[in-house]
Amino acid sequence: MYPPKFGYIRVASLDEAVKVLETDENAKILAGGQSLMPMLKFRLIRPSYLVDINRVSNLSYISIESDKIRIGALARHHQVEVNRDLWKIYPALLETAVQIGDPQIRNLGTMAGSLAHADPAADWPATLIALRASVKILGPSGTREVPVEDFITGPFTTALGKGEVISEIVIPRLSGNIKSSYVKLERKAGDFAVVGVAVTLRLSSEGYVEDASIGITAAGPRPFRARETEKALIGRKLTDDVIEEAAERAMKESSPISDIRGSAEYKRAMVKVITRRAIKNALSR
Amino acid sequence: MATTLKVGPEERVRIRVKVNGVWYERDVEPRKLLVHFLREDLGLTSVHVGCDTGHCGACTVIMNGISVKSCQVLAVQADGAEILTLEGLTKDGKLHPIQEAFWEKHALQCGYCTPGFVMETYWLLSENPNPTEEEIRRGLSGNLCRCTGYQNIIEAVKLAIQKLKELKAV
Repeated sequence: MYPPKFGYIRVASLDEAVKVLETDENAKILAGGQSLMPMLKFRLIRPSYLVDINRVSNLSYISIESDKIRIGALARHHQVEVNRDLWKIYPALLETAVQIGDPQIRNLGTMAGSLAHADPAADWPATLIALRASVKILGPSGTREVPVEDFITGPFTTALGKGEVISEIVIPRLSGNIKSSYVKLERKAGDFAVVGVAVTLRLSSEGYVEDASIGITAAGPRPFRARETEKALIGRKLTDDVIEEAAERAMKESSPISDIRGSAEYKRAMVKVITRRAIKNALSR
Repeated sequence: MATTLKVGPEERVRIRVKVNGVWYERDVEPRKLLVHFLREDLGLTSVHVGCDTGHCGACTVIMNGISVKSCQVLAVQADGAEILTLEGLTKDGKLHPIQEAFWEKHALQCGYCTPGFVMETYWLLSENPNPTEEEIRRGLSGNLCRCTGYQNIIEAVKLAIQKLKELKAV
């Protein structure tokens, strides 16, 4: 299969990319390209130009700072997958990275690209929502930051406006006894999630949940933060009954559709199972 | 190789790519995929088109030290890059230890997926020279084989690990 004809612009900076996108609404960013190439081959999109940002220098960083982690727009999934320092802070990040696509795809695909593509079954959004991360956007009128939760507005739709590109992802470093986990149900290696649930918990020394955030993917038109589920956890000790109640709420908060990965009914049932597993997995750390 | 470059949809762009140690210069359409560049322009037919949608891994090559599916990369993206294909593994007519291991363990039947498996194994072992069986299976999860049931492929990778260790010891 051949992609449709398009032009190609290789830029040396994100500012240059913004300038192109500002004047040409049909131009599209090429980062890892691992979702873009199939879309082109299937002729689902026909961009005028691809704006290749792969030669922009200093954009592949994973910068661990005292209060936050900054991940550059060109950091590949594989970089996250093998970063031992990140494992010590948020195991959920590595757990997510390693379950995306397959090794070759992870070698090129980027976190920023996954967010911009906004597949409703993508893995990163669940985890980044649970970590309360935000997307730093560069546009014609400067930069702005949008929480990942609000960034994805629907299937394959984001808050990116005309001329805007993602420059980095910012993940706050929460203090205290933090546990995180991402559990994905998939039909086979390399597939998108049937459902995916990410959990972040802050526990008191007595084991009470002081704070919780839960991100769920593939269980609605867009990945979402399961606030009712969180409420069932906060202020409580995580007994089996408490976890069960939370998992039940997660199921009620979800609104999956029937597709090749299962019926809506099946997926709702799986949200419950996977939420339970994700909470237990986080606790086991 | 210019950092900033603009090519129209109807234009061709001159690219320079180092493949298996040799620099090549060719004019390509921006939409040309790396797999088609390697097969059609350079005649490197070990690089197979299998599914053409990024699932099967038959088109796997090494680009600047990492394994990629060459049907998921544009030729123009490889401008200035170093590419290694199966053809580049063989030295002076002698098979690479990974190729030998695939042969000895009968890790292929029809052979269509083999170049992709060999190249991904090459990358896997360059990242992790001593993987567990679980790591081998995960490491090759981006490559599909419809004949063997994978068992002999796993055995071949294990044998390749031994062969490469022995080579290093010499």
